[in-house]
Amino acid sequence: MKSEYNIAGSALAPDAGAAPVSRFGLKPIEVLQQLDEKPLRLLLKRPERQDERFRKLLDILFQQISELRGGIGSERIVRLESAILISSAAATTPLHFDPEIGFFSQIEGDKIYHVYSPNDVSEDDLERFYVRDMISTCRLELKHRNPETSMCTT
Amino acid sequence: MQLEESPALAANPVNPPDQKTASLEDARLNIDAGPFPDLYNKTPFAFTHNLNTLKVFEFDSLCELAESLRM
Repeated sequence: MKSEYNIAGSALAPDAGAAPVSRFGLKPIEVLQQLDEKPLRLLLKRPERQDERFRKLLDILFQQISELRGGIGSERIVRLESAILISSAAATTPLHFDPEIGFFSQIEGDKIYHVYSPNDVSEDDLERFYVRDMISTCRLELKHRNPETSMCTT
Repeated sequence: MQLEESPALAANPVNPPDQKTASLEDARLNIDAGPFPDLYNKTPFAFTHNLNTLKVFEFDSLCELAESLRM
């Protein structure tokens, strides 16, 4: 069975790894209770599988995206899923890529994030992830990215 | 280029006040339909939304969800 959540600490820098889960040994609810005290990140995976409210929300939003495209036609949806990331104010997420088409919506608070061009992910990066299974969280090394192609927002 | 300069974002209003009382049926992604077909799955673009107003994202609601998840 796939894990339904992930707990991590903050990365020391965007190109550094996050503190491992075992360092904290917390349950999700404990992370929520300690957000003000520790630099923690909690990823709630696929909430639509556990809670009908989030299933309904995902369906509503997907319908809106689908309508913008005039329907999905003969395309096949391989994975339609959501995730909720809750982090303390001091937390930094390492540079990574998401293997899916993603729609990021900030719900509460402020966040500074940098978005790079898809062209900044090389075939070698993708091969490491998809073929060699050398990385599990799509992490990328910052030194190989072109800052000229990044966008920054809050 | 700043994401704030995206044509998709420029065409949309700012997020409404952060009061989490709205129902799921009110959920909206404010995406400009004009450039969307050219941007989708090709180029990052910005959009606004009202998900911050949904009751389902209240802290207590998220705590309830968190307690139901297994490692």
